[in-house]
Amino acid sequence: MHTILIVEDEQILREAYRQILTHEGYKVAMAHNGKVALVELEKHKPDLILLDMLMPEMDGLQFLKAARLTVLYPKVKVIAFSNLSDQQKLDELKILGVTDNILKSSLSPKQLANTCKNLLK
Amino acid sequence: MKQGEDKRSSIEQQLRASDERYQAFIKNSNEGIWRFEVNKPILTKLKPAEQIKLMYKYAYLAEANDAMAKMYGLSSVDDIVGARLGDFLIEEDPENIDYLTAFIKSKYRLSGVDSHEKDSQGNDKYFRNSLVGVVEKGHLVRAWGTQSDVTEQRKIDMALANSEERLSRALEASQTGLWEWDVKTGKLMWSRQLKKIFGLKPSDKITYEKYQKMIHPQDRERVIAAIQKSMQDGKNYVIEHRVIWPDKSVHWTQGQGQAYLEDGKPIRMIGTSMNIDKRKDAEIQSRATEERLTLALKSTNMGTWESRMIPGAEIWSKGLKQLVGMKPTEILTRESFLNIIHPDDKDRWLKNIKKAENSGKPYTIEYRVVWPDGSVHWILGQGQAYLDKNGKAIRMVGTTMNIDDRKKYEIEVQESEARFRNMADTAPVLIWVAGPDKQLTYFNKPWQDFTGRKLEDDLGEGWREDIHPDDLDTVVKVYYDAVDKRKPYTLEYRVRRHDGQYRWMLDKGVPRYSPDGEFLGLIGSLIETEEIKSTRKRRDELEKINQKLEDQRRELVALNQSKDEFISLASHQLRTPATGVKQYIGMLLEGYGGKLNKDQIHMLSTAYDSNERQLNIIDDLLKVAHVDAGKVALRKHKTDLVRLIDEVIDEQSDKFRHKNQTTVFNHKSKRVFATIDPERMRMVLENLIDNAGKYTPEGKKITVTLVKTTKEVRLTIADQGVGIAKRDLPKLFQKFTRVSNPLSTVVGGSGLGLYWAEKIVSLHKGSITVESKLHKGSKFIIKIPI
Repeated sequence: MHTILIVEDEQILREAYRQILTHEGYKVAMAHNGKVALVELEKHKPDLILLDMLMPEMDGLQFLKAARLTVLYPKVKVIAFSNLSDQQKLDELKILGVTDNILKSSLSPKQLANTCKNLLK
Repeated sequence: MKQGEDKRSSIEQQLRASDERYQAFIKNSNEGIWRFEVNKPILTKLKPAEQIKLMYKYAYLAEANDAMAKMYGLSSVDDIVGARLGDFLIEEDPENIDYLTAFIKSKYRLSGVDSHEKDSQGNDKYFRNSLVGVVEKGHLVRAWGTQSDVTEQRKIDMALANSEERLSRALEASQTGLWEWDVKTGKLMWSRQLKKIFGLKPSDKITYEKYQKMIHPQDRERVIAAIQKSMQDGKNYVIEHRVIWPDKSVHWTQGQGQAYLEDGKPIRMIGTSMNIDKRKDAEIQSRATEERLTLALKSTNMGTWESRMIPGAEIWSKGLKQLVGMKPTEILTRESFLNIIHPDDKDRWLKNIKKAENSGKPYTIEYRVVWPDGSVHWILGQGQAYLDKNGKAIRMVGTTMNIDDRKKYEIEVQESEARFRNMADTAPVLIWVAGPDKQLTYFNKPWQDFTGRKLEDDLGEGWREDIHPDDLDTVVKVYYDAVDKRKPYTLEYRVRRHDGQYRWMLDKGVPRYSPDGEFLGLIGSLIETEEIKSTRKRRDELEKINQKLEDQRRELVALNQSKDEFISLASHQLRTPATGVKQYIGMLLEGYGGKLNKDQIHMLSTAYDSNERQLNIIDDLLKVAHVDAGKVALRKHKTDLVRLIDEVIDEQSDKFRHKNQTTVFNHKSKRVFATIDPERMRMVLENLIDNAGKYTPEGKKITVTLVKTTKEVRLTIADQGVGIAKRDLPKLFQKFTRVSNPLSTVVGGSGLGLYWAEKIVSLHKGSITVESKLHKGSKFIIKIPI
């Protein structure tokens, strides 16, 4: 069973993702900012992280830099939820271990589930 | 016998009568009659000097008449009878020696010889003597004689002799020869000195013809002309000419002459001649020393001259002839010079010279001369006459200078002055010009128009009448001060306009200088202050408005920025709840919450679609905010457009199928590469193709055409939709534009799609245009340079 870490400051979305992914049969861990996410990462060693980029306390970018995923968790997949259109920043994210960048409003629950499923094959 | 006695008696009578007659004659005679006796007869064989000595020793007056006594200032003959010869004659006087010697040598018979004696008062007396001596046995015993007083005559003679001698000595000293010509008889009398001057011997004879021949050929005509002129007008002439001596040597002479007329006809001519070789030599010598001067004169285009004020005489000059176009051999006289002066300047020149001659003051004149080649040249003449104590000019010296260049410059200056006036007359301000003497020399036409006065009314001091009486003192003071100190000034005062109204004017005067730095006076301009004031006011108002606009613009820019920020922020904030809605409705629709009936699904689907549209609008707003903030950086790489377009059409194929629309993609090559940002360009194409589908009615066709040329890639998306009204075309690519058409309310949209698409294409340095016909369809053309 795969573990997915949901990092999202918006409680309503966090809860929606949890329901969808639990419903799809994943083990789900959650964090509402980057700092908490670092603790949960250590604790659960997830296979996939759904990472919101815009967050208070510690945002997605700061979390990625602190987590040093490519070194410490080379196998972990990361879906970044952002509306970044700046390609340079997107490239930077990839270097920091981000697998895919998705505009979170573009995905329906089923599409989200399918995306996760494809990445964890 | 008796006859003999009678005869004797008659002789005696005759003798007695004769004696009486003699006594009467002696007594009544005006002449002195005397008889000298000697105490001791003088041997006539002795030398005259010896005899004379003995005469003074032994001769005494034995008999005389009263007339003689009177000659010696005495009343009676008794006072002189018995007097010795030495009492009468001055023994040492050479004339007396001559007199007595002549008496002896003439064998004691002498007449008409003068003696020099003294009267009783000691006065000099001259007597003319006739005397006879009586010689007996080789000895002079007595002498009879008469004498007349010639003292007065002698004095006249002596005075005459003295003056003649003085004259001849003076003439000799001045080497002046005299001549006299009797025109009627043709007899010509020359003094010795004159012959000397002409190199002739005293014995040589002279005629007028010979005289003419002796004159140097080059001067001959001139001399003859001068003589003939005098023979006509009886006036004195003076002329310098050369004479050729019999030994062929050439000598300079100054001749002077005058004819005496009778009934207008010449009867006699008298004249003098003087040798002037020395002076001429001096001139030649001074010429040599003046070579350097000549050079200097040449290099400065200058000449100099000196005239001795003799009519017709040659004027000495240096460099002058060259300046005035005369040949060096030509004789320069005032008359010959006058001929070369430009006819228009002749009178002025003569007037000027006459004035200089009368005043003795230096003069300066500019005039023109005409060269033999007809060319006209400007000359600057300066000179001065020197006067004798009677105020008559005896000498005149001067310099001449060619001033063609300066005149040319002056003409240029005049032309430039004309240009200035031309310009000044068209200037929108009043302009005046004044000389260093504070006199106004010029007002431009606008000034004349303003004051309504004639130029000549305002020139000089006339302008004062234009100034307001209350301001005049200040104006004059400030203006005079500016001229004196050669400083600029600015002053506001009232000037009378042509309608009599006084207007406030601002006058600015500045000093002006010649290129050489010479102060030329002031030049100034006036502007109506009232006009300036209103102009200033208008300008100030405009500046205020401008400032206001600028402030507003900045405000708007700031506002726009904060608006962009606001849109960005708002979109983010809006998106999260909309995404929440999407997730939960999505979960219901996708069965996460259990099975739903048809109505439930329909209702939730409508909510889901509505939420989707909201999300799209939010996305569009964010995209536009990004593009407007300049935050979009293209990430270009080589992309196959055929594939890209295929994918976009494919993605939307469901929609087309749903509306029963057909799509056609025309492209010649299998692959068409272009360097673009594939993500952004995909969104542009999605937008355009989506629009085409939206605005095209069901069952119609959408055609996409891709053409690649050497310069660009051209992509056309054509639909058969409602089309766009012509008046709406310009607004099409503006923000928040939604063209009104029957379908717009149905299709919805943010009104930002085309705006953003145009921005993206522009970032590719391409263009997006539209051609449309209402109810026929639209055609969007994207051109991207390769």
